[in-house]
Amino acid sequence: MSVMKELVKGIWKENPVLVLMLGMCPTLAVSSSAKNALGMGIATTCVLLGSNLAISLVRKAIPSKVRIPCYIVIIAVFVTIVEMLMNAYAPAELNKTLGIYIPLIVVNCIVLGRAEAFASKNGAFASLMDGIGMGLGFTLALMALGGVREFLSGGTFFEYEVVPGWPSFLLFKFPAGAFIVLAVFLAINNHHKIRKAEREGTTYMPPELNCARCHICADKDDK
Amino acid sequence: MKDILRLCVSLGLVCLVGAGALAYVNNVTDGPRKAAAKATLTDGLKLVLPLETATIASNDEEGAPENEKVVVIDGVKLYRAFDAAGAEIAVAAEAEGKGFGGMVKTLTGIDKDGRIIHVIVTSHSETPGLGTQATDRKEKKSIWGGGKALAEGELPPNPYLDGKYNGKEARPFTAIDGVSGATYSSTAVHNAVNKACRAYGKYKKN
Repeated sequence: MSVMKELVKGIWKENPVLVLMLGMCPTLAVSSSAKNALGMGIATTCVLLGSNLAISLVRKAIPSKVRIPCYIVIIAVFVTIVEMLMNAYAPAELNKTLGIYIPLIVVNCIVLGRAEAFASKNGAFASLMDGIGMGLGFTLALMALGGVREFLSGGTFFEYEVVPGWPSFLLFKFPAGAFIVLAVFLAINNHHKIRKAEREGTTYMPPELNCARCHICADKDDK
Repeated sequence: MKDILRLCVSLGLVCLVGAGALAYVNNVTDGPRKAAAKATLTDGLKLVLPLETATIASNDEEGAPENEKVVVIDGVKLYRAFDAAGAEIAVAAEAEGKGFGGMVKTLTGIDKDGRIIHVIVTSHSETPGLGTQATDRKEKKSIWGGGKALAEGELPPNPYLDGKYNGKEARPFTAIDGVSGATYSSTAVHNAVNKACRAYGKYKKN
């Protein structure tokens, strides 16, 4: 039951892009088309899986004062190894399509964010589930953004023409268009949540502002 | 004091293990990576050289026969293409320029009249969707069908690369008319092709 919860929460309730607001840089840069969004999503999910697993396994051996540098080293090593393996063994076509997203992942804050917020406090299996869920949520959010932007900018979807003769609308191809589309998504999401809370007679509280999820006070006494 | 020592040791250990893993993987994948790069190059050469090409001088080992050897001028590799009769019909020049995310490697095919056939980018790490506008070629496809298949020797279009280079004389280009949103990437391609053209000019003079 709780395993399913870890898996599903990343997709909607704690979606990294739409709720946690993590990984904004790749979100804005790479969501110009559905294909790019899918590629970035798959690559990130793979790295997230590996890094979550690795960090949850070594979490007890690392002193909390140096945990962040240790996580960065682990993630960077992992990404570099994936890149070298892909260069060497992946089919040329796959390497060409996915390989360009790999350098963007090393500093992706979703990976570091999940390491710090989840994998460092939970077991290997739960962390794996969290990685899959967060990766899926990131991929889906990115693809929704990418699909809308690609359609608005050129009338295409996955590089296939959908509406012949759609005027080229460059704004949506550039990061400015990403800000606009993302803002609309966030507004819809928040509106939905506020309405739901009103119906239930409570006040909407964003999850990141909730004391139950924040460990800053509890972590003050270092190990 | 004791605490600091403990922190240093644990971070050092993580780094050490990481470095060891990287060194090992680097060592193991070195051969396959070079082979993969070579395969990419061979595919790229086929794309930028004319269809009549029978053999390509792409041997970069020491002591290779003169007519199989890669000519290297100012760091630019020139791959000569010969037709079935053994006459040189074209040259493909491999050069690189610095882009936004690293080096952008280009292959420029130049025919025997000194005109550019095609420019392709063989490897880069530019931002997908932005920088790649200046580097990647993609086919036009429609869900309504009607897209025509590419003829032999025809490449998927890239308006920037095709418009700027196809059929132009292989001399260094002056104006940088970049792609908006991909200024660094188009400058990288521009610099790389100019290097290739300069090397080609020197090669022709000799």
